[in-house]
Amino acid sequence: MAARARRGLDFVLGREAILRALNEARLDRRLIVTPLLSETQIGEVSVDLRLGTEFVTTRRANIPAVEPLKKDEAEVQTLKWQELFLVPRGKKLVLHPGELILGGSFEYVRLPPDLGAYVTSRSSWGRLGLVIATATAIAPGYRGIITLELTNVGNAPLVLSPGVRIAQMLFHHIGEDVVYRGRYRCPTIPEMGKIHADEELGFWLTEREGPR
Amino acid sequence: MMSPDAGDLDEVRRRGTFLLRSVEDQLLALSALEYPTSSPLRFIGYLKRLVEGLRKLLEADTNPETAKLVCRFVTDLGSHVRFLESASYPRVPWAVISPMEKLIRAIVPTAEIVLRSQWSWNYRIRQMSVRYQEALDALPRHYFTDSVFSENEPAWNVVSLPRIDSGNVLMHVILGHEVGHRIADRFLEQEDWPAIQKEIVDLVGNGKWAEPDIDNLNPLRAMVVKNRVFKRIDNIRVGGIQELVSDIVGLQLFGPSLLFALRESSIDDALDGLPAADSYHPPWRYRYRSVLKEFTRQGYTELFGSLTGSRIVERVRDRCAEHIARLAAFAREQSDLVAIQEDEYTKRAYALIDAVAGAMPAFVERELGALVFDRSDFKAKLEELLGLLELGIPPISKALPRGDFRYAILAGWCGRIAQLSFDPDGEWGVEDDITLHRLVHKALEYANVTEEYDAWRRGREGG
Repeated sequence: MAARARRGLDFVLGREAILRALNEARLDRRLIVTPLLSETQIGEVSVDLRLGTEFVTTRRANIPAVEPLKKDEAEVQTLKWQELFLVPRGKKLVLHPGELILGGSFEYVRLPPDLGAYVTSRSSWGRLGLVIATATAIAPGYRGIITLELTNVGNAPLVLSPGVRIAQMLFHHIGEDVVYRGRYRCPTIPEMGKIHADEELGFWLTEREGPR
Repeated sequence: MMSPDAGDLDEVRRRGTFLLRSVEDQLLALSALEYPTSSPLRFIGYLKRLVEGLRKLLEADTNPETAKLVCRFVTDLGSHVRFLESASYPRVPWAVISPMEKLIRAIVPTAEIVLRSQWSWNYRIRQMSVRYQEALDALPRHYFTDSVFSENEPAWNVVSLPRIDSGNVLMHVILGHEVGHRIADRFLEQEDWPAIQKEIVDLVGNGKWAEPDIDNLNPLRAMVVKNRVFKRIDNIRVGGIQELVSDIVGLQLFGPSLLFALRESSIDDALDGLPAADSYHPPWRYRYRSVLKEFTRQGYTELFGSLTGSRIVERVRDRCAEHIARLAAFAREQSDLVAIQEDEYTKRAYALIDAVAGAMPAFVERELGALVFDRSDFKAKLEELLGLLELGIPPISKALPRGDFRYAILAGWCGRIAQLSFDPDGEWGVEDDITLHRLVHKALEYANVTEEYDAWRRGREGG
């Protein structure tokens, strides 16, 4: 156990290990967080992520309910009740109490096959009522921006702006190399979930036939 | 009883007032749209001041013809508001705007651009300020001193790109060709026009080749025919020079990306189509030949040949070599030249074009100066960016000059030609091209922000 701990296999990576991962000579095994505008984004155990410029919000639409399990309906509904919008640098985004907006990290991330990550809020924002992610685990090999589910659980509107450091990413080793086979293909803007892509939904959404 | 003129004036004024109000309402609605940059809002402000000037003119001027001219102008202006509607997010690839704006400004320093997408397939730069100045030239200027004839106003340009290719950022290097038209204008301005006129007159000769019955026409009619022939030869000549110089500008600005984009944009066109009254463009085969000549002169064939290293880099080298060889094979065929020789007008015009074609590259190079695509460390830069792209990472590197997005686009073209797949097990598919476009678009965003962030930090540390 002590030997594993020394190799850092079970624990969150510290600053030195993060720097080593960022500077790994082999590109395919390098941790990539690009562009890292400032070295100060690398903390003692994490890398700060900034808020990107593109967002997805929902609007009132003439649909009976959101059907995330059915692909065709989900795709059309997405167009009906969601809206992609841009907040250029220097402009503000107001997040109202109870509102959900999907945002993305400004940085594009690629995890090497032996590193996993977690995205968490920065406590300063958390204290203002901002929740930035509810699905926080990032699988090894993932590449793309990190979609952030921005919710204001406070009771006053909250002003955000692209470029602010809003989240932090913590890394941990995986005991083996993993090939990423997730649903997200190099996302560059925040994307809605793809629950409808679950292969076994075909089973769970079909009524049983014949005698019981 | 009201005189017919007064009645006419009143009627036209009412129409003009309504049209102005309608344009104003539309501009107000357009002010509420979200734009990626502040340029469209500033353009709206400019148009609002123009509309205000027109309203004052309409109220003050008692000439019905002036009122009619205002009506015609406002109707035209009303159709221009569509430019703003299609400049809003997400109708335009917004990360393209800033780098293109900087590039265009480096060539035309007073230019300000509104980038918009249009449904028809075309790239175009409309010089709105020039157009409005020409249209209002005959009217009293003092109504427009805070808009069209303001000395402080930038030169407004509406840059259109095709909506169907909006997400295809690789294609937008064609804007390098479009801005090249400004340099082509300068090329034409520095010509010895009296000498060219004489050459064209010589080429027109007795005109019998164009009009066999010319000897039977009265002298005035014969002169009209000769003038028409002169004009047509010159139109073909000017149209050809415009396109060829602009292609060279595009190539010198964007390197091989321009050649690849030209090929893709012409993939469904006839290669040997001759210049015609609706388009004096040279045949595509002729343009390929001209661009390839410059491509070779710049040493790109050898530079691509020098790519070595990873599997993807060598695949890019081989696929690009095949692609370039295919284009060279198109260019080797002489069918366009045969067609040119068979058309009496085009044959004469192209004799004049061929005589100056050799001077175009050096002229463009002088005009572009430091803007010419940097070929130093071509191999190292491209290899690094292709390595990133292969892993599904936006092709931007700390090693490249901040803000220079052109290598990101070139890496994108190389990935496209090599049919780069982002699926660990998969074959190439159209989704891969879409992903590639998104990654290059992201790289453009990053190139721009890093450049501006670094400049901000330097200013802060310096201050």
